[in-house]
Amino acid sequence: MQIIVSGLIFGFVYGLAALGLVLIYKTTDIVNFAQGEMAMVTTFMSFVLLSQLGMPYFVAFALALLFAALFGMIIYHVFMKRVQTSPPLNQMVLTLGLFLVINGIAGLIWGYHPRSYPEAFAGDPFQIGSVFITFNELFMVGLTFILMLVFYLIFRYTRIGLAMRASSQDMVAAELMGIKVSHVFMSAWAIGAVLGGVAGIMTAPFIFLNTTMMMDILIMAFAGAVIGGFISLPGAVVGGLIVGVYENLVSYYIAPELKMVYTFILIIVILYVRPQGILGGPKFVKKV
Amino acid sequence: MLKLTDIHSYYGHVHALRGVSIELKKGSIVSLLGANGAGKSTTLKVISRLINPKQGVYEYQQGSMLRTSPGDVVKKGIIHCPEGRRVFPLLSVEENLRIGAYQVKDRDQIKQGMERAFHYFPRLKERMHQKAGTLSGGEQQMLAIGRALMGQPKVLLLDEPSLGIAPLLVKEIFNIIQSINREGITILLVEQNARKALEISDYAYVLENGEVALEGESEALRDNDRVRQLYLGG
Repeated sequence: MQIIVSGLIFGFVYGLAALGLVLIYKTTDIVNFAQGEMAMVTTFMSFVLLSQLGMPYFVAFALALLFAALFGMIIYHVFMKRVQTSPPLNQMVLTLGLFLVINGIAGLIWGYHPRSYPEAFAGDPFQIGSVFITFNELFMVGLTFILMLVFYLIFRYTRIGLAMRASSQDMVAAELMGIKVSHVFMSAWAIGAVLGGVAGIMTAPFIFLNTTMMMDILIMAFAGAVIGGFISLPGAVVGGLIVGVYENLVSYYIAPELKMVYTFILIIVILYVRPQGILGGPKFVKKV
Repeated sequence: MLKLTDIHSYYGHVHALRGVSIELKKGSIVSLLGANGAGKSTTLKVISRLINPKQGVYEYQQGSMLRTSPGDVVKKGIIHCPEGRRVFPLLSVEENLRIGAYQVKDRDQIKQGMERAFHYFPRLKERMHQKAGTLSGGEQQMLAIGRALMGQPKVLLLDEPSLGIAPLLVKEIFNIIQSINREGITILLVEQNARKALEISDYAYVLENGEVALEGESEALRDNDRVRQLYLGG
């Protein structure tokens, strides 16, 4: 039971990271391999604000997310906008390149020593039934849950949400409705970066802060997104939860070192058996 | 009201429009005829600013439009209903209509627009919560026109509204186009179905290879030998 609950807690974080990936893919048709590195930079920013400038946790948290949003917009504006109509391979190579560049620059600035990152709430675990849980973990789950809910409501019921869904289905038709598609894409990148940033800040206390911290998370997020079908937002969350539990089960019953291997096996199996994921469905073919 | 003068446009190296000049008078229906690839859709894309012409003048209500963004074209009341309908397949009928009013800020106006769309196309109301991708071709065309009306057009650009639609529906849609025009909305109609288009329009242009080959009152063109031979099937 403990294993499953702990898995679910991490699953929420993977789900959040997967949500960022899926959102960007769904709206702009770009698979963002640099997602994890963008989140890592955001986490470092929050660390700088927190430890070096001595800001309170939530102020640093909020400012770091603001930074994430700006960072996402800049990445879109400077890099991705130019390749929006290029072949997918170009886009993919560009995000892979960004992955390496961001990682390298972060290494130059912050070095390669892992540092410990504070939790939002300190405190010993308490017991609910047979399960031990800390207040910080509850906070993680609660925050993720609220973010997902807010996000869902925006996407479903607001004007910008409607514009996002429309732009992802047909860019040209959206433009003809008077939607500034480039603004919509920019907000998708901003929100995607924020979601990733939250995932980064939430995981940092568990795995230490360093420039490679998001690699594993990114892979887990990809696995979650793939399970969810890569275009379904609820699918990304469910996928993230499944991956979290799966990873924990593998660590416990097989070997912690092998969890990555088994995660890749899971991705491969899913792509073989059900490439559209559990909630994916076929992506609508766009008429050009 | 809206005037293109000597517009040249290229797709890569293909010279798609070679000096097209057309004029829309306020309150009229103007049809744009011609074979596939003659430049009809390109002309519409120039008007909605999806394409920037290499050369030429584009005026609307006495002002040049060549620096206006597609979003502002919509705001000024020029609404383009694209070829192939292009409704948003995964959005519901209602959401498709709502997105048509993206540039309209006033809630009451949006509501009235919705009523107007349902007045012309009662079938859309029945299918309000259905995903647009599940509608039939004819219903999708109705939705596309309804969606364009939501943007409160002064000028409505219709690209092949009869394409791939059952003959009975074609008649209905042409009737509706006429009623929309009676509200005072100027219409530029691109059509393969030249006979129908000439029946309802006041003035017509025939495009050939990116140039205006013929123009005139629709009634006169109907009796023109060349038009009869090439577009009306003898």
